[in-house]
Amino acid sequence: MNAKNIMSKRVISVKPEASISEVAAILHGKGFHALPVVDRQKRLLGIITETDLFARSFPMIHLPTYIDFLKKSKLDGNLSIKQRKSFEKLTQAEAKDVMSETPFVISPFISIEKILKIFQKNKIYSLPVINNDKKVIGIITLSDIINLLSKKKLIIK
Amino acid sequence: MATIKKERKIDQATSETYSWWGKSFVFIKTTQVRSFHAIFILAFFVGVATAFIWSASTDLFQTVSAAEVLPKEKCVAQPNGGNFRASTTVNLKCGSKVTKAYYQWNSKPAKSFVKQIATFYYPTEGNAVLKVFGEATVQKLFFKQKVKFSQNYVFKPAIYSYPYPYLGSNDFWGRILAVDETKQKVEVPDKKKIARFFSELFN
Repeated sequence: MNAKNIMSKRVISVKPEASISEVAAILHGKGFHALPVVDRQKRLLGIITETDLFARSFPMIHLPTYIDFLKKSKLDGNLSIKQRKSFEKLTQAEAKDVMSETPFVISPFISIEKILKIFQKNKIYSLPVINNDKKVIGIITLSDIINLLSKKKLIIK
Repeated sequence: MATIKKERKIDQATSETYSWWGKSFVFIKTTQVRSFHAIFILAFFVGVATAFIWSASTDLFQTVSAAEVLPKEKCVAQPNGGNFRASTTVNLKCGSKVTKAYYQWNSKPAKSFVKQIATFYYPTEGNAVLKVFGEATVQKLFFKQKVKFSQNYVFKPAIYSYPYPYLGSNDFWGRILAVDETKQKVEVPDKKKIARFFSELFN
């Protein structure tokens, strides 16, 4: 059994120009851990995980919430040029600004055991499956494998 | 992810905005404290209003009482000035205007019904009962309220043995007078009573 057999073929992805609030809405609404960012040809550009939505310099700041707050605060009227620049950079941030550009990916022919090892070693929950043209053809999550194990369709040696 | 620890441009922008945004954050916190106070003030006024309504609905500030109000105008009550005997029932109801009924004993006007009963000895039969009842309009703190009153007066045998100078028989008789409340002056609530009530409420 390999990745092709267990991957979800209907992949929900976002464009790099999608707003951060849109990304957050999809992740939260669908209960996903990660969301692939693809171009018009469905080629993988990056991946956004829940962790990516938090500021790395201030881990307690949830970027979509922070940006939403700044927009509603109407602070931009009394800002200096430098402050305004950073304010606009933040409020106009897009998916491409938060995505991880070099995500782990797998081919459709990789075995389940290897996929599990990748999950375990890198502490990740989702893996996009791409073909030779770097197009996203599916996605495998840790819960897909757990489902198989629970249904006894998969035995790990 | 391979780039998990690398700082992104958006993280730099977050750091920059967070440095000056702190001042505004203080303002927001102050606003929250103010609303918190406002809730307390609102709760205080709601409490005061509730206390007023409650006190008005009880007899705490009742301004008309039997001993304080003297009759100014009489209206017909049952029995209408006639004699009545011991162990009788007297209905003082005189329309809805009656505030308080007064009893006139042996053609001599009494100061009040209650006082008359308490002061004099009646040459009546042992354990004779005079039952007085009726309906009165009572002035509360802000509004008038109709109340029903009923009072039983028992004349004991000990009293019976006392010789009364005015009557030689075992009967007692009298006339019932009633007060028309519509032409009476409404009394102001006792300020000391109100002050004491609130000091007890908030201490």
